[in-house]
Amino acid sequence: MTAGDLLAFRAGGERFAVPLDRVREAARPRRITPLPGAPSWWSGVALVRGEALGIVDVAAAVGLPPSPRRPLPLVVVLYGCDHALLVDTIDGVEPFPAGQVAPPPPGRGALRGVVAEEGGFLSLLDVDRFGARAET
Amino acid sequence: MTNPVRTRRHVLVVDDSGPARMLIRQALDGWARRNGQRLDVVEAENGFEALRELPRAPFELVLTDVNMPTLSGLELIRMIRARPEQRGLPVVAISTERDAEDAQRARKAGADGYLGKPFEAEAFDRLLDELLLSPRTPEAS
Amino acid sequence: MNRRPQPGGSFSREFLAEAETLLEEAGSCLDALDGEGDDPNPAKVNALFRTVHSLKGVAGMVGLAGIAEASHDVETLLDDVRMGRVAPAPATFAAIRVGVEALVTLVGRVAAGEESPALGESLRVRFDAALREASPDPLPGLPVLPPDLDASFSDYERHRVGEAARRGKGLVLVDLDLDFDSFDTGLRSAMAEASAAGELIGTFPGTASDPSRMAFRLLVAVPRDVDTAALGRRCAALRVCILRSVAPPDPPIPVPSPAVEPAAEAAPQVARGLVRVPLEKVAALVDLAGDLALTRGALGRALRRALAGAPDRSARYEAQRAFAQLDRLVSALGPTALSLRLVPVETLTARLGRAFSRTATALGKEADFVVQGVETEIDKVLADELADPLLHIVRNALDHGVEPPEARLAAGKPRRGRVVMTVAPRGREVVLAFSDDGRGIDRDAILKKARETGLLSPNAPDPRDPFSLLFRPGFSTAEAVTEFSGRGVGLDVVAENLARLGGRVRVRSTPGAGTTFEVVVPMTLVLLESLVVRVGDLRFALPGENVLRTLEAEPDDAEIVDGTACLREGGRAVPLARLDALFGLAPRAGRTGPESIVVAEDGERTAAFVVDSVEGVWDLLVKPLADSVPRLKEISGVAEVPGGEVALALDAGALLARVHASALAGRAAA
Repeated sequence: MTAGDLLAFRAGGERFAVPLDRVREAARPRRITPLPGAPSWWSGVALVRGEALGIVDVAAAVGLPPSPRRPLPLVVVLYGCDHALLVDTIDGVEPFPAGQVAPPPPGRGALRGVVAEEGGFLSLLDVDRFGARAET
Repeated sequence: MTNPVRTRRHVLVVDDSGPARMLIRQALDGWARRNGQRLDVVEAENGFEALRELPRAPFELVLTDVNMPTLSGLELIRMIRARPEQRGLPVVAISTERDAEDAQRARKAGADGYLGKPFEAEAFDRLLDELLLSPRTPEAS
Repeated sequence: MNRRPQPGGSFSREFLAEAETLLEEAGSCLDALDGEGDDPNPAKVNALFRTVHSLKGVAGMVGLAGIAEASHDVETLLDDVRMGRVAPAPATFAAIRVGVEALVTLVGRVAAGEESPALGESLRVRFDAALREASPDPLPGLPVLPPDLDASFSDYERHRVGEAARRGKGLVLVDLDLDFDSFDTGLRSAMAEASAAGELIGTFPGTASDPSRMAFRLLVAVPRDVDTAALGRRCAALRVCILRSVAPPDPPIPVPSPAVEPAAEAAPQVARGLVRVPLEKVAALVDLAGDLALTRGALGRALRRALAGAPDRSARYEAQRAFAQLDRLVSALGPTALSLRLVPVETLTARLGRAFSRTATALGKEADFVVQGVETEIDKVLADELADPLLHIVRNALDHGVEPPEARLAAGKPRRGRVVMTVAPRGREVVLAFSDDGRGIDRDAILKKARETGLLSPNAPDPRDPFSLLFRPGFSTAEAVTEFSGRGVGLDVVAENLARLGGRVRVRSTPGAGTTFEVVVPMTLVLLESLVVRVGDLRFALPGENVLRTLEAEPDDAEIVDGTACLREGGRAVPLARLDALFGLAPRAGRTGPESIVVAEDGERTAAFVVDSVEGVWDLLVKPLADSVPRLKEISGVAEVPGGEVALALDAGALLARVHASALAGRAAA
């Protein structure tokens, strides 16, 4: 496992990635319970291995339409974070893309940058800032 | 670039040790990445769980520890071999033994392959190439 | 796959945790085998074999060759015993014990930070010397078994069949034909029955009556006096399985010498006056008690209404008396059911004590472990969850606190060190303190280290509690170990685990005199009886002690006092609020008739809340939510309700404060 490997996933129809070494596990909690009073991009809270984790809706956090609620949602649990990421599907482990990393388009906070790729672009999430400072 | 969408291939890992399952999973992930394959790895902690999981997905490979409490790996392999719908399923026995005797014991119980722990990455990959990429199993792509 | 373990990395931590457990298991297997004579229970020998085998596997995987090799030697000897190549004489088990002790020492050295410890002298050499004369009697011929079975025997199974013959035991085949949905329960129960009746030699595939079913065949060796028909009945009585036949043993095998009757295997499930009950059954009982309490409430209300107009005075009196009786019984049932989950903390301290002596031996320290307050009861779930963090603290106290004997003598201390563990309830919390009389921690060294590693910026003032830095990730580096007293290795993980349980840990230390680790876990984790209510799609849990009562009221039961909706409760008006409105949830449409109301209080304030429904009273494990997760401050955590739903735990104090604040605002506006 090289340092630059990424875990790529899809949310709201777009592709995102986080550093693989920050990924603890992918999990399917039974459901996500909404949290009254939380910002719109927080999907709620879920129990993963008995631990209560806040769940950030990746799509909503970057300004895409929020993910619909569905049974057995897929979340990516991160090391060093009290929240997990709600995603649609996981594409898998990929090497860090060869292309140029461009700054994120305006209105899309908490991204490290984007890389153009076949059929679109891959957004690199800034894991640490994601929960707190995602754009609304 | 995006990976071409590929059907996931189901692999069952049976071991009563959590760290051991994790290492086998890592080895599987490594193999899958090198070969452009997508695996759906299901873990079972014992033979009972394994027998329960088997009919739930179209498994193409089982990797099982030999020494487990209550229902051993060899007993599990015997069970798999006796079920008509699973008879042809490739099974790899994994054990700490490295001697020929243990490998033979596993073969006799019906294992298709045998790995000694800790296994070398190359040996693991060779075995997986043989069991998952050879023409007798249809290429899923 | 041959990755090196990283000191302090998660790998070596996982290895230590697993090795600890395995060696502990090995120890108890050995203890159980002591005094079993020359026909030791093969299931126990197998269990011992498996633990050592697993240890070898894990050690090999993380590259600890020395431990893998030593385990291999112990395993080989055990295999020889299993397969009858070495007689199970006392000398054999003494040798095995020597081997296991050596493994304990090696693992202790890994815990102490050694990279890849190995034994000076190979165990095999020692074993060979000890066991020269222990070779078994020759085996007689094998009994005749069905050919398909015979063909699939493993060497071990073949050996055990021979051994059964040699000891004059009978062989029984149990055929099981099980429903797929419950086959594991059925198989496990049958295996347990078989093991209780004799020795379960092997599990084989059977012939299922239908492809959707699972069939197994158990081969069991039983003493000749075992009633095989009764065994068959017991297996059949498992209900989850259908017993097709119990094959009588092939004609009893002639025995050359008088058979040694094995000691009756009275594995005591029932110890004097104590019954072992699975946790789930207790949970079910607690659930029922909760349901019953709710039903009692409903019955009471219905009864009052029904009796109000009843003309027969004596019938009314009878009904009231019976209800009062029921009320008393139900009230007593809840706490009794809950208390079943409590176990004396002794189960935990015994485990810590064993780890303590092993670590002390491994580190060459001389010290006593003293426990005070063993009778304190804690929740079984909590005891299990606490084991790992506490093991770490105990090891840490020995490793970095208690000095080696010479150093202690030089410092004018008694040669033997002491670690005192005190357990005591304190208010709604349990305090577990570990005090050693070791060298203490140098707070200046901690501050210096924290500034060097950047945990503390160079100009920042000294934190009030410098010892808290020990629990920060990144503080515990390998260099820290050599530079000063070395507290801190892996303590971040301890703090993290405790935080997960809603607990915390604090350190006090006097240089030269010793250190105290104080672990505090909330009682509320132990047992938080909660009332669960539903509002829309959400469930909320309110601590039971804050709930005054629940009732149903018509909308016009509310009255307006000073511009605020209020409910008459015990002669005074308490503010009435809708929980959906408080939390900004959409109100339920089309609601008519009586509403469910919960009256809550926190000793200072009382308020009533309208909810959609009251779901039940459960004993919940509330998990705290991290502060970084944004939410209303009335929500303190999350709990799983039986059935898999998740409830948001409410902080009653914050909730009541909010209702009263808005009531005041309403009054001011009115």
